[in-house]
Amino acid sequence: MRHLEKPVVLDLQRPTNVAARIVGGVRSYAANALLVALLALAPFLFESHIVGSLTRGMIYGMAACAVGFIIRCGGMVSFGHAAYFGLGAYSVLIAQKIGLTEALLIWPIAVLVSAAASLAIGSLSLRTRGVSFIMITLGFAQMVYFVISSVQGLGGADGLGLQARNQIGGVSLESPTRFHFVVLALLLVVFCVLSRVGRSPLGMALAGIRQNERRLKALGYNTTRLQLTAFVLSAAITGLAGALAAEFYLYVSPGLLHWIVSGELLVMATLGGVTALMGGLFGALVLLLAEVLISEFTTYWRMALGPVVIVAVLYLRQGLQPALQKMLGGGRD
Amino acid sequence: MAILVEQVLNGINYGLLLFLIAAGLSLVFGVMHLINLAHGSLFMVGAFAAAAFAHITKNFLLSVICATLLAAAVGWLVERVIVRKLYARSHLDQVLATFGLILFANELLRWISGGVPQYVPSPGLFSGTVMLPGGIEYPAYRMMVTSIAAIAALAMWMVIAKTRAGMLVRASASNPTMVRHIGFDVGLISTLVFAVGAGLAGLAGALTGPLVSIEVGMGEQVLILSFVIVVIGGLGSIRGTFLAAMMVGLVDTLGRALMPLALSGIFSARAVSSFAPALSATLVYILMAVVLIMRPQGLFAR
Amino acid sequence: MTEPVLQLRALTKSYGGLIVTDNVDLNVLPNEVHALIGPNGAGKSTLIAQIFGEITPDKGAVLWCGEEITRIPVHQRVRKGLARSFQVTSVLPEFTALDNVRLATLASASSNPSAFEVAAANLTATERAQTCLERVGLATRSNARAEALSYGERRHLELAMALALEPRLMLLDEPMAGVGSDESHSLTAVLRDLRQSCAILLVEHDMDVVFALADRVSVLVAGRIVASGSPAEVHEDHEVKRAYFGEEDVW
Repeated sequence: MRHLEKPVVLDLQRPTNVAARIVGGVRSYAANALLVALLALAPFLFESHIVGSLTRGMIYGMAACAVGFIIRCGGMVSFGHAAYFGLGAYSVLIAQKIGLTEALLIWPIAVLVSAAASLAIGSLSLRTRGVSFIMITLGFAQMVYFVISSVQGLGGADGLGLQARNQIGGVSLESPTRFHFVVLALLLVVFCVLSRVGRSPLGMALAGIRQNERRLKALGYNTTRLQLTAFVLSAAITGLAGALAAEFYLYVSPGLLHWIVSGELLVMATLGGVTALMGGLFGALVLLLAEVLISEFTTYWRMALGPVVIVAVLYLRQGLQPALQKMLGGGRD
Repeated sequence: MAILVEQVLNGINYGLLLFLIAAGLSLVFGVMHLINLAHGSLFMVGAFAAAAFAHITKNFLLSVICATLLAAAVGWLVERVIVRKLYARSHLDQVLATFGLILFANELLRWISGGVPQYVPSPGLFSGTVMLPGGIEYPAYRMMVTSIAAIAALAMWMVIAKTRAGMLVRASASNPTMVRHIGFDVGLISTLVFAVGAGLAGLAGALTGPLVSIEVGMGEQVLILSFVIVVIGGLGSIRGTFLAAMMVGLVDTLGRALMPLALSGIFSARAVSSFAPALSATLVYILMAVVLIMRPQGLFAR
Repeated sequence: MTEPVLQLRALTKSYGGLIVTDNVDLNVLPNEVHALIGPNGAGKSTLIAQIFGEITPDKGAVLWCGEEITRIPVHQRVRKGLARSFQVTSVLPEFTALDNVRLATLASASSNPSAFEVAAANLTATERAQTCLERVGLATRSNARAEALSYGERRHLELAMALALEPRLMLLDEPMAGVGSDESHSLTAVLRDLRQSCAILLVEHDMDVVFALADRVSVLVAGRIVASGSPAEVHEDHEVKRAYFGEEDVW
């Protein structure tokens, strides 16, 4: 993953502008490499419940990176990605109900289901921009939530358990360690795809749309169609993450579709830093770590999370991942 | 026929309550260009506060007034401490920070209430029914809620359309610099607008209390519906918000009541009971989709 | 007679009771510089936006080489060979000057930007972008971020982006607005160069520029074309109108 572009200077003078914050990609891979190494070695280093938390962090991180991607490329703030996350999970449930057990078949189905839903929802939502877009993505996600949670065959409001984790090419994924590595591998594939798309002419045009959509139209780009492409790609990845979440919990419930998941994905994406490819992963891991730590002391851990989010938005403007990079001395050249 | 009339009245009742909430959202967006996810939390605060005040004072009207004032005060405080830092920020930042507020408010109330849903009985005076022309009985409490909500909506419209203060608010929405230049404190206007919006949401919450179970998360249900309303009506248009709120209130209420009846003519009872709830829950969003296809800027956008 | 690239037929647009474009007929010939002048608020920018497709007219037609394009979206017009610059400088602040222009060359290379090729590796697009920067005199600034460029440089960059689309007609909305006299000279030179490659519809307040470049001039007052002709004719006609209307300060 070499960067061919010129050095990008993050503008710290005007950090109130998200556009200015969401500059470019990752300058130094130190933080990223360290994190990936940690995740790869985790099963050998930590107890199983910590490894489990990290697996979960990677799953949510995958979805959060997809959410961050369409902010960086396309300027779309989606408050409805829980729908694609949940649809991915429910696809696994339905596939198992009709007797499928092969992940290599089921996961692509989950991806397709989420992509198809996002194509419909996205083409309607992209008739608006800005605030309306945020509200509408939330509205449609809520519709998906209501519909699915009222289908008794899928467990209604309570959800249903899976019989067992699906297999990959006949190989069982019951072992948490093996599942951990599968998730990590898929996460790296997602990063490669997002990185590649980000540097493509499409990604460049999408970054341009975030900065000045009118200008991109004037250059002859069908901006709505490009945004829809990015939206569907993002939803497809979120669907994959949702399928993995179903396999992880071995339980699927409307909780995965709840609007609060959309909000948490956005928080993870921005807490980690939307500028960075892997920001969402950082955000997810930090958030889940915080959850684990705080829940030791109180069940009301979100009471602490709320103020943390507010303070982070008001004062920690670059996100965690770039901050970490600076600390590691890599960062901006 | 009686069912239909009753459901239409319920729809109007619901529409008016939704308008009280959506109006604040729309005003805050119109004047300060802020998207406030925590607006639903103020509705929730109103409902919880009214329940608590009713317990203490044993007087329904007094508890509604206290709850409304408390919600307005919370709005005032939140605007001064957090929200005003967000006006100049991107919508993304606004969404995130107000999402943080929701998390905090929900968890705080879950802690205070112990996570148990609260029930408030309708006030004694209004616990019966009233006889409407045509011999239709209708719950007196709902009738009163409809009246109060209608009065509040009308009062708000009068203030915005007819008074000097309302003129200032409208002027701040279209040209804040001009308002500053003629010597008014735009910051104060913002705080006032936010607090009034909070008060209206609190009022809606307090009035809704006896109709539903009061629980954490009730705010987000109405918040999302309010978003749908604001988008359908056209961002920033109070008239559009009102008409859209009535539409959504009627569509939602009538859909839930009539959809099973309509479907039972076509499908088996078992099929109806399994997917009628799903279908009626989507009606509002189908309405939103239709509006987006026909008029993406909203039905009554300026 | 050659067919005009652009023809407006009885174009009309009003907002509420206010008529901003009133029955406008106008045409631009290939390789012609047609200047559109008029007082502030005459509706020049609204007219440009209607030609470009950002605003839909109420009545009338926009014809491109004889074909009606009144209601097609902006990006399709650009594909047909229409380009515009903006009155308020509109470049992409986070991108380098080169990337700004490269977005334009990539757009004209393919209507469907690839998702899996690396943008920076597209050498043809990069070379063409570099050439366009050279033509407007920004070659040395190609690696500077657009937000770091001076105001005048950004106006040049704007022209380079339009140029990179290889348009047949360029709509220039006050390209000189707000630039100093030095840069005004270099911009005029760039425009003189541009007219070699395409037709130009020029909205401009600077009359020196209009007289230096325009083949024809049309005067827009309160949404109506009140005079049209060679610069000299319009100037004389204008004197008459000034005597007639009194306060209209077109120049």
